[in-house]
Amino acid sequence: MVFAKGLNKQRKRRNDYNNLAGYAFISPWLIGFILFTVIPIGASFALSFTRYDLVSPPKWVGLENYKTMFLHDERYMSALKATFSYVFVAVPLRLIFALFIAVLLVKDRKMVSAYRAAFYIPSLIGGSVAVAVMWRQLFGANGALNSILIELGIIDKGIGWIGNPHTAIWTLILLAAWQFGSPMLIFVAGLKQIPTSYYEAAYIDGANSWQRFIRITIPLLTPIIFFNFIMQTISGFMAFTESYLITGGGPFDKTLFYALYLFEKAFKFYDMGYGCAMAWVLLLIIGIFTALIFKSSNYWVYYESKGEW
Amino acid sequence: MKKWWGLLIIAILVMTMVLTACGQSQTTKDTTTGDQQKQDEPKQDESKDNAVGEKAELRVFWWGSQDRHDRTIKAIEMFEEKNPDVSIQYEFSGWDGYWEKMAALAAANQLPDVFQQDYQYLAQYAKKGLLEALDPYVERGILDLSDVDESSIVGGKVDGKLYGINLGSNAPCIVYDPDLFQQAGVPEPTPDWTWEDYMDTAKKIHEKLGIYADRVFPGGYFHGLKHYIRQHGQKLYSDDGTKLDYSDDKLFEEFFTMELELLKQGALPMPDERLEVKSVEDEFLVTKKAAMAAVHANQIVAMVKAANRPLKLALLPKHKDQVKEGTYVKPSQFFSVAATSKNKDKAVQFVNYFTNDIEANKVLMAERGVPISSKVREALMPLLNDAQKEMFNFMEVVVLNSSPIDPPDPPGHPEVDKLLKNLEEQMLYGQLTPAEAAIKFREEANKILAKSAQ
Repeated sequence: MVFAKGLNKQRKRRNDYNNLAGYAFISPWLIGFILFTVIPIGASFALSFTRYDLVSPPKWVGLENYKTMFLHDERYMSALKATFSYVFVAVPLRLIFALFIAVLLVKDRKMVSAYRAAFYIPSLIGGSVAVAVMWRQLFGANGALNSILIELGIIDKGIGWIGNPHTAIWTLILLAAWQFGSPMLIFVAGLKQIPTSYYEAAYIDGANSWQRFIRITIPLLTPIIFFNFIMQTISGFMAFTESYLITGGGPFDKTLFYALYLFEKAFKFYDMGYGCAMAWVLLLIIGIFTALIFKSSNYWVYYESKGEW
Repeated sequence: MKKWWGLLIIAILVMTMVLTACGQSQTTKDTTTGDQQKQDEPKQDESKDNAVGEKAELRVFWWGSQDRHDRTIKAIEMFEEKNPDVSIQYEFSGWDGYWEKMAALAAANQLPDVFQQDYQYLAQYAKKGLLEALDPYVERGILDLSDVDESSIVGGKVDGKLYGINLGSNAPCIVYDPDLFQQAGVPEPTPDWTWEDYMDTAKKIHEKLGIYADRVFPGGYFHGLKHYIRQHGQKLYSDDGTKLDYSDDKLFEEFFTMELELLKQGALPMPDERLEVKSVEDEFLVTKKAAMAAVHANQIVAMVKAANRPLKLALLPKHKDQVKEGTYVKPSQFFSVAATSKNKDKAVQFVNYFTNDIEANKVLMAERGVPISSKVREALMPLLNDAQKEMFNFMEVVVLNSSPIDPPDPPGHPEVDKLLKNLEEQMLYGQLTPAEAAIKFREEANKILAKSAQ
């Protein structure tokens, strides 16, 4: 018995030693995480109940920021509207293009990896100033799109697509749809996982390609669609750069994305507390939508391993 | 074979990345905090060594056009030559994004020693204790304002203390092309021209030449409205900055109704076309899409350079029943010294140099506005080109046709400005009538001002 006790002590000491080594190895990351992620998040939450203009000390105001947001702030409502319309249109569009191109590119053709890379590039350079400037040029009153349309005789004077309240948000939606690269690659990976034996069996049974697509590809892709849907929705709600650089919030706030309004309030009008409150509400909104999508996934996502359908 | 292809592509990718990275660090002079010693900039021949201990280091930031950047950099280098114990690290940008950068620096207590200030933000920064009061330096003689008229200094005072040195006197005005006016058979504006004259002129120009009268309505949405209100003896903002001051919403209505009238006739472009113009050099007047440009007087220099033809200056229109001149002498920009600066004496010395040194001003050439020092103005007069002479002479006309400047814009101003911009666009797109917009403006602006005054 004494012998066993000694062994246990040794084992415990070894375990402690292992744990300590583990902590030591991740300590740099852990310190960074605490200092740059956890603490600022906590501070943001606390600040959301204050009025803070960066240079004077924060003043406690309780729920006033939250109340103002929902009851007294028209621009906030515009921001919500703009962001929701963007997400509900741009995300599905982006996913549809991504899937469409992915299906085209999944076959092993010559140079297919070059095509894939080419289609991926727009999403890499997405948030950059260069693309924004180019997009402004394309859709500006003197831009390339207008020149083409005038040449084709569709319109006879240039339309300022970016400054026009009806079309401004569509330029941004189009930009989002153009950057379908990363969901596309994920779809390609997902498509490759579908066993060709299913397709062969269906072909033998006389299914045409549309039926094969609807009955085999889509159902077996649903986990990937689910993943992409969530990721794109989350990033859609956080869209900032496009509206900041291209429309600046658009003609009277028509393209005032939530993150852009947050930025304006915090950094242009020096109302940090309000910005923090907005950030937490955004977290709530994204959380709710993600939860909804998760809940719904029980009804439309098919996991082969689970065998439910 | 395949292996070589792969290697080649990787090599190209890596090269491109390395080149763009190197390219970045050469063209952007970005240092997020100016005191870091280990920068990859030593190869730059434009920025000096950051040796601490031997040289006092100043950070100087400003915004402007490329012309201004070139001139200012030269003036800085001349200062460094005259003062080898000071090394200056400078950074510049356009107007866009400048204030966000300053806000971030302010939050980090890293404001530059000397930075360009604007009337819109001076009060805000001063009241938050971000700026050094310059009165003691004037008394000690480091800042010499003996050749400067009081009217040029007063614009930089907040609550009685001096926080910004006027870098050049200026005024909102209209730049016009006398040639286009002649082609349209329209008389050139006189100092006494009224809003009726302006409307006539604008309509005729559009009729005869088919171009726009201007990109925006005189003064733009903000300065124009302010001008109009001033002409009726009232002020836009209350003295304490907590609410709007003018009581008559009709003024708002009248002003924007005029704008809508011109828009209907096609003499003004819709907001979406306006977006094309990102800098003074792109103005419709420069590209001959319009015969006038409502800008500030100092911008004529850059515009003439870009347009490559003679342009002239006119006052903003007078109101036939006005009780007071709407025009005022405006400090175009200031230099302010950060309260957190570690080299305040040297910083003020630099500002003094900018204000008084004749050689430096010969380089700066009044690009920011008419110099406040009478000695400098005298010395520059024989050297001025036509555009600059036009500006100097115009400022004399302004002084004769102006009334004192209103108190500085209150802290809530940027938000009110945005509100007014949105309302103007809504009016132009027909979503609001001027009468409705007037009421909305008052409601929302008062809310904003009340909140920011707390």
